[in-house]
Amino acid sequence: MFEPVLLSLQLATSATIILLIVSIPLAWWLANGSSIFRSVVWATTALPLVLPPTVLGFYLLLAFSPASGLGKLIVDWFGVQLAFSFAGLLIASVIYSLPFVVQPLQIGFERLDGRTIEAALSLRANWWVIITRVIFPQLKGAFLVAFTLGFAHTLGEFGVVLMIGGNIPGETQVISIAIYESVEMLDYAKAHLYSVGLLVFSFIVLFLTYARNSFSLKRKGE
Amino acid sequence: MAFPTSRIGLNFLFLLIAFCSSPPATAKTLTIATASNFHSTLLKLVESFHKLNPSVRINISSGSSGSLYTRISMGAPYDLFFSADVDTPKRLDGQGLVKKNTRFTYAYGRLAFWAPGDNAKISVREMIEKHQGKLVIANPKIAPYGKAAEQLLKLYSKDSKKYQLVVAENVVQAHQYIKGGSVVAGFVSYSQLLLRGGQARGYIAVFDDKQLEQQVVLLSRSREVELALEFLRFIQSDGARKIIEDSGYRLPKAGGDV
Repeated sequence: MFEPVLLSLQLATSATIILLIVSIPLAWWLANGSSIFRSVVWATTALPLVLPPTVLGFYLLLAFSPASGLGKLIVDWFGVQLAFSFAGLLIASVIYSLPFVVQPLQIGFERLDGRTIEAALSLRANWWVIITRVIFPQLKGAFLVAFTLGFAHTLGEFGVVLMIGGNIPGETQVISIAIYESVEMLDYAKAHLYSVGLLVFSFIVLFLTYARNSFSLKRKGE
Repeated sequence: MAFPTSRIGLNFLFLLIAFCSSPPATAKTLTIATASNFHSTLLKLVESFHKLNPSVRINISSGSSGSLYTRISMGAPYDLFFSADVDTPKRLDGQGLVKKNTRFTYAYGRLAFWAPGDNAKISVREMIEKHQGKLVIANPKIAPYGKAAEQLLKLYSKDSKKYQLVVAENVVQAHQYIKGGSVVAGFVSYSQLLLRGGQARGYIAVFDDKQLEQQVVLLSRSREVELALEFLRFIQSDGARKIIEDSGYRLPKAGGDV
């Protein structure tokens, strides 16, 4: 009963942690460069925003399947099969939610006030102090939004998961798939339970994030 | 001020990492893929199998036979596959994805026409004519029940554009569209009309000349061969056969070969 919920939370949490690790350097680089190569990378990371999930799902399915060259290589080298497994879902989620984490961070980095860092440097502050006391306070909001959107978006994923997950309870049957299946099986009670739960949870998370951001803006204004 | 916040953040991170470590593996798990028409019947069978083997965990994934075929050939980790036809298991068998001598017929499905809001005493053919404006069928390309329905409609009329068809993903979805009221009538599996005790209300016609032979296979990538074979033997037992028959299917001859 609660297995899809747990699985969804696990997937979203793991994906968000990986996403933050990947996105911090990527967003920093995107915020500070200006080559044609940067535009290429920027456009690539934003692709999941515009493409239907079926495109990503289709190519990942081909790539992950042991019937394909790459999929077989992964099985031979690492002993894991990515298609229809939790590991595969995790990789797909990281790709799929990438723009939702990169973009807020990128905006945060772009808005970073360089003069505050220069001032701190001129006062001979060491880098640890600069990062924790000067840079991070300016980026707290951006990190919070990136974390929330990455988490919430992974939680709400459906198309990609349906295509490469294969609806296996305990492995790939996340909450969105469980809802789809309950509706198909005419088990509306279960579908309601999951849907209302997800609705309330998502609202609370978004509300807390936005409320916190607007309060901190207000405080700054005073 | 900044210090307590970061400590909370750190604790939270540890909590997350602990939380992310995968769940403990259960002793024995059987993963079964089933054509959607057989899902509810399979649930009853599994419940009965559980009484004999309480420690076993059984996962079920359902979909149209065609979409399950794609997943299996892409490497989905299923042990057993209950198809709604013979062709799909045969094709898997031909590709070497099936354990030798494990393919057999477990039931004959029955295609039915259902119009829940209509009680007119007329023939099926007239009934279909009456509702030709909006009929739902399962996707004939991937669902055997949809294919059977399509063939039937072709028999009734050479003009294929005559019927306005709503195409559902699989036969369970077709049933759901009618039950939910978004489509007035259409083709479903008879077993779906027997759910929760009695027969569903409204106009029902069963096409017994259009039975769908449904086969099951043990997939060669299964890691629980013993358990899977036990389940296959179970579904050929008298108790299981009664469950299948009571769910609206016809039975193959007794005395299977697995």
